[in-house]
Amino acid sequence: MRKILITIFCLSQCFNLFGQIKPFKAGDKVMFLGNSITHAGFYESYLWLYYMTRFPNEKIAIYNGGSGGDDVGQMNDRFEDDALRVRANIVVLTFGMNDSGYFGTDNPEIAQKSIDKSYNRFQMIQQKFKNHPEITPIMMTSSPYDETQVEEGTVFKNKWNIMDQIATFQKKAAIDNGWGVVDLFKQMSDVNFKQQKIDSTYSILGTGRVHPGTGGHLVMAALFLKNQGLANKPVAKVSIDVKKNKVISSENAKISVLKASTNGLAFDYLANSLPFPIDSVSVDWGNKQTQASVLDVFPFTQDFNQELLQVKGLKDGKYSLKIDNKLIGTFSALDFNKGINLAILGNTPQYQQAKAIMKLNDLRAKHEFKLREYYWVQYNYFREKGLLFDDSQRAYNIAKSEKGGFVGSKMGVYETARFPEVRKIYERDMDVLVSKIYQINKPLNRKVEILPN
Amino acid sequence: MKVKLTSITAAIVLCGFISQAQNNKPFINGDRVTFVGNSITEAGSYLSNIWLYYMTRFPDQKIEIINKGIGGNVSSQMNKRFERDVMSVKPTVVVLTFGMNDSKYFEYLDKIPDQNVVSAIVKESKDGYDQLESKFQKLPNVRKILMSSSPYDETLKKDEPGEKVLFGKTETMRQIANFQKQSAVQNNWIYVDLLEPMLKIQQKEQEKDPKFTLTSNDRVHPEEEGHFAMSYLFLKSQGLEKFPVADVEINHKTQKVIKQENCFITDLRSTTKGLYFSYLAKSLPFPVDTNQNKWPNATKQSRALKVIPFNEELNREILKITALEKGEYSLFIDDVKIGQFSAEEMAKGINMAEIPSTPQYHQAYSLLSLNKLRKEYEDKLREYYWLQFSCLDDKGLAFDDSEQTFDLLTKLSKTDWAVSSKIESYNYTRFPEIRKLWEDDMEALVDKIYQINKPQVHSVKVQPINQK
Repeated sequence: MRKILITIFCLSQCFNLFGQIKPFKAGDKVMFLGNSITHAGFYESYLWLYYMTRFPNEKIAIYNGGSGGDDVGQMNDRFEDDALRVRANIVVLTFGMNDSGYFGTDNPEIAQKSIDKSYNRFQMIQQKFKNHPEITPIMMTSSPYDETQVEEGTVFKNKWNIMDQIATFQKKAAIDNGWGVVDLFKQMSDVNFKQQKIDSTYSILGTGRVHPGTGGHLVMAALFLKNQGLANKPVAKVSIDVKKNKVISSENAKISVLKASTNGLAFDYLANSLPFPIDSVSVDWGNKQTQASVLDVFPFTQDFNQELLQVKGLKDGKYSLKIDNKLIGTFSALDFNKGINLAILGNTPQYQQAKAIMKLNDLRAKHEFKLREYYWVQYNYFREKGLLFDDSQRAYNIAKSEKGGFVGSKMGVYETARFPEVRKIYERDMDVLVSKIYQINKPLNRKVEILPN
Repeated sequence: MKVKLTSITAAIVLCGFISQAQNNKPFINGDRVTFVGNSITEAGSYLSNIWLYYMTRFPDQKIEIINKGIGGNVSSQMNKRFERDVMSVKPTVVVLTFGMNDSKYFEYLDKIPDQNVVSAIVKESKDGYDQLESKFQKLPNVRKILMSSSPYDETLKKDEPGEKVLFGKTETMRQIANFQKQSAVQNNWIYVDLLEPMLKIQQKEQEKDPKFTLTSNDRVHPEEEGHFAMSYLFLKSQGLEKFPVADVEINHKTQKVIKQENCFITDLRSTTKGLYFSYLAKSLPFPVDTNQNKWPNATKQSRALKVIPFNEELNREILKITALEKGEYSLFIDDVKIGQFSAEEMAKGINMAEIPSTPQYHQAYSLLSLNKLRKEYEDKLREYYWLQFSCLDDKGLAFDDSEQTFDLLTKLSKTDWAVSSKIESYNYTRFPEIRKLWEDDMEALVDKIYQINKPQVHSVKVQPINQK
């Protein structure tokens, strides 16, 4: 027994070593190939926003390669048209939610069929990865189906177990091939199990059991970053001792022209990164969960959003913190001694700067989403009709007259996106937005003052 | 006294004779038309409809229609931004419309204001306009069109106890429309009246259904229906009834084309199996939008067809075939069955523009979609200009767009509903690159529209129903 446990322990450790992926670097083009969860586009967008703010000088590109309803077989079918089209050098493959099926999940025979089918078709896309050495594959297990949340509505029993088995062969394939792996399934399930002991109606996904809300998407992005070894990499971390009139340490930031006394101090602060702005408003359609709402159960701020300003040796009392002559807040000498996390203060100029980037990035994602709607109509509707990229009036008429399925919901976008000029407009919009983002994402030298009240 | 009366009569007769506002004319190739107005223009549907009409009816005559509406504006505010917002785009035509805000709101809350108050309101509006009038007079190369406001609806019946209807507002709006017309007459400019014809439609419809309105629940802003009525009245004032999409008459027996207005009929042949010909029109039908639109124009455009004879007067693509043998016939265009008609109906003429399944309608519908997308970009830009002219200008901050201005607007948006409704898009329109991008996008869409708006040759087949 003990031997088995040690083996399992070793395996999981080795697995971490194997699965660990490197941070993206300048010039990387990363596509997330997935289903509707990827199609929604939030986690990829948050991930990119992290890179835009954390590594302002390393321009990367992240592509939404999601198509609603897809299993791994359908992703395999569009591998060339999607992943190769954008010339991605990194492809993150994520599937499982649809592969595991929705009806008859508690019938062992049907369950096994789903697993076998997914496994077999997964082999096909693995082969394609092997045929394209210019692409670095990363396997990402699906966000979980939440079978245990106490909520109204149908529950697909045993679906979680089927997904667990799919996740197992995804991870194994990654290890066998020496590919990176990000295990969302287990880590997000663990959050659910833990939280549901406190509140049985809780889910990291928000509501609906299948599609994460924007909060769940933030967690997905964070888990990906964690796997890239980016947890605990601060925005900036500065420690100053006023008694010694000295900067004790400064990580990822430069402090200059320091004037300090026990009554206060002033200095120039130039960080290499911007804080990550948290959206407390935006929600996905039909799921009211916000990004901000997961901060209570998930250590995002602790792990990924630390812009720490520590000042030691101030006389007891209250102090005003000013940045670029703007009052940010009032803190005690004790607060400063412990360190203040500037990243969670929405009124700092650097946060405002990051928020502007967030807004531009949101708009970019919206335009990309329209393109994904177009591609959905191609891959998930026209392909089997033999009308892939036909886009003629006839093709349009056929889709438009369709009564069932999801195609009707995409026609508002498709009726204009079927013209290549319109798709080009969206692509140009995205390009210009990204250029603008990488123009305004450079941290500026900030004048920081801490003055006694 | 007698003399005086006579001279007044003479003056009136004289006025009626020589001083007349010019008749509106169709826009011509190359026109850049600006509609300068308030929130009703800013909402923009009516001018977007007018442009779509030109895109489909005159495919080779490229014009541009530019939204210059700013919500809340009165005449003096339009005057204030005239150079910066309107002349900056070098228009060839300026359509000026005001009156809804000029006639004010609070003054009617307690009672119908007396004539002194009304006169003061009208004078204030006229003072603002007088400045614009003198600017107009210095622009001989710009065609000037004065357009009265769409009406405030005083008579709509609602079940909203306590609602304060602004009785008397219509009368003030009439007086404003009067000086607009007068100015047009004096200057020999064009005058287009929306106020009276729309009131007339409303009155007529409300006799049948007291809940009918061409405005909306607020009695002020037209929804899609009202906007469509505005487009209709404007286009009609341009004399466009005279330009059908196409008007075809064929005699089956003699195999003769009796009429082919705005189109070409070729390869006409007739056998016992039916009648065949090639059809190339010079225009496309106008696709009336049957989709429910988003707020603030939430209704369907197509609902307006019940109250205005748009298809009958301005959207005629007539196919008339006489001397067919009695019976039922199928109409095919490009081998797709369009419908089934009796010989009698064919002899009376059918209006193909009302049939959404024709290939020419499909083609026109694409233009509608692209034009809507263009409008989405334009709407965002108008929000930007609203912030500039209605909010920042008074503070001396127009086009400042610094971080400080952004902070200020963010602060204002917490208490000011109007600012808060416009600030979301300012997150990106505040960058000149993005505004330029939106303009480029609109241009690309318009280019695409004028590329695919050229009518195609269609094969038409009229077949007796009992034969295959």
